[in-house]
Amino acid sequence: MDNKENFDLNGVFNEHYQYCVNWLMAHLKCQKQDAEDCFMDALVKLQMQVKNNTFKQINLRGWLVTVAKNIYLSTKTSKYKIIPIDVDKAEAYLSEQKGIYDASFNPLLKTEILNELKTDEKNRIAAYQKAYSNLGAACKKILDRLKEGVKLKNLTEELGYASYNSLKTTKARCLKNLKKHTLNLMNNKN
Amino acid sequence: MDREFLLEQYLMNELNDAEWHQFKTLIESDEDFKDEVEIRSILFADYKTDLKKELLKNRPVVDEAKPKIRTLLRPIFGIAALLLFGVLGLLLFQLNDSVDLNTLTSQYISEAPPSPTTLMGEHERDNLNLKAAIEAYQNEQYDIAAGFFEKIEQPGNLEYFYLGLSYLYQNPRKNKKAIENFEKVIESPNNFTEDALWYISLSHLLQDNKIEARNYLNQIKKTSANYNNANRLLKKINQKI
Repeated sequence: MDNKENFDLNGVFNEHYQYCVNWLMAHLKCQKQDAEDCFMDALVKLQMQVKNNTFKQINLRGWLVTVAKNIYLSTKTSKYKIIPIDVDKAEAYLSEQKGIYDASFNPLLKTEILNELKTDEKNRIAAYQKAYSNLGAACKKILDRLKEGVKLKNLTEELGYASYNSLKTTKARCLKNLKKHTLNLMNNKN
Repeated sequence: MDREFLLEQYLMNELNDAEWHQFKTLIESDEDFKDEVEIRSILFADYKTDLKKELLKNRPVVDEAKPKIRTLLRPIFGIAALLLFGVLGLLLFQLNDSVDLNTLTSQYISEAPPSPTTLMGEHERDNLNLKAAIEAYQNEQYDIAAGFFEKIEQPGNLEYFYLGLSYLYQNPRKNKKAIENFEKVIESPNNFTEDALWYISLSHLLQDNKIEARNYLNQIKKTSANYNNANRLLKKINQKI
C-alpha cells in the first residue's frame, strides 16, 4: 500500500472482507449485505485516497472498519440529504440498472432508497448517463478523472493545463454542456 | 472556502461542521453549485457502481454449503429445527435475562474498539504523537497510548475519545480520567458523540454510578450501533434502582 502503482484493491478486498463484514454485522447489528455494501464503500474511499496520495494509514483494517461503520450510520441518518439526487440515490438506481442487485447482494439500506426514488429522478439520472456518453473527448477526460475521485487540483499537470483556474473554467463549461444536453434529452422525451 | 474543495469533501462524506454549514448555504443560495453537486454525485455513483460490480465478481466464497436433504424429509427437518431453535431460544433468553448488570457491563466492555484512523481530512494534527499513540493503542499498551495522546497539542474529539478509551482499558482502569475525556467529546455533536456516550455510560457503571450511567444511556440515539445494548443495560439499571 506504499503507492498507487502497487495498490491492489482486489487484494485488499479479499484480505479484509471476512473480518470487516463480520465485525460490522456484529457491532452494527446489520444484515450481511449492508455490511458488504459499506465495506465496499470504504474500499472506494481507500482507492480515492490512494489515487490522491493522501492515504497515510498504519492500521488499514481498523481504518476500513471505522470508515465502513461511519458510512453505515450516515446512510441511516438523513443529515446530508439536501439535494434531490445524492450519491446514495444515484447509486441505488444505477446498481439496479447495471444488474448489481440480485438474490446474493441486495442491501436493505439501498433498496429502501431505491423504493423512494421518484420517476422524474430516475429519468434525470438516465438522461445524465446518456448525455455523458455523448460528451466531447476533452470534457470526458476531465470528468472521467473527477468521477474516479481524483482531486481537480491534482489534474492540472496531468491533463496539461496552464493553471488550476483554466482547468476550473473548462470543467465548468463541460458541466454546463452536460446539463444542457441532459435537459434537451429530457425535453425531447416529454 | 474553495467550492471544489467543499464538493470533494461532501462526496467523500468528510465535511466537518463548519464546512457542512458553508456547503449547505451554497446549495441553498447558488443554483449552479446545486446542479454541479447533483451531476458530480451521479458521476461518482456511476464510478462506485462499476467498481462494486467488479469487486462482487471476486467476492470471497464463504462456506455456506448446505447438506443435501431429500425433498420429502425437508419439511420434517424444518419443523424439528424450528422446535429445537424455539427451545434453545427460550433457554438463551432465560439465560440472558438472568445475567446481572455487572456481568453485562463487563461483557460490553471486554473488547476495546479498533484503533483510531489517522490523518483523515484536511485537519492539522500533531501527527508524530498521534502516530505513536495509535501504535501503542493497537498493541494494547494503553498506558503508553494515553501518555502520547496527552502530549498532543490542540487535541480534538478523536484524541479525547481515544484518550478516554486508553484510560478505560488500562490495567488498572482509570475510570475517572476516562470519564473526564468522554465528557469533552460529548460537549457538542460530532462523529464520536454516540460512541463516547456509550463508553462514558460503561465507565460510570464500572464505578457503580447507575444514575449517571442511566442519564447518558438515555441520550444514545436509535441510529447508534449501541442503541440495543444501551436499552438492555437501561432495563437492568431500572430493575436495580
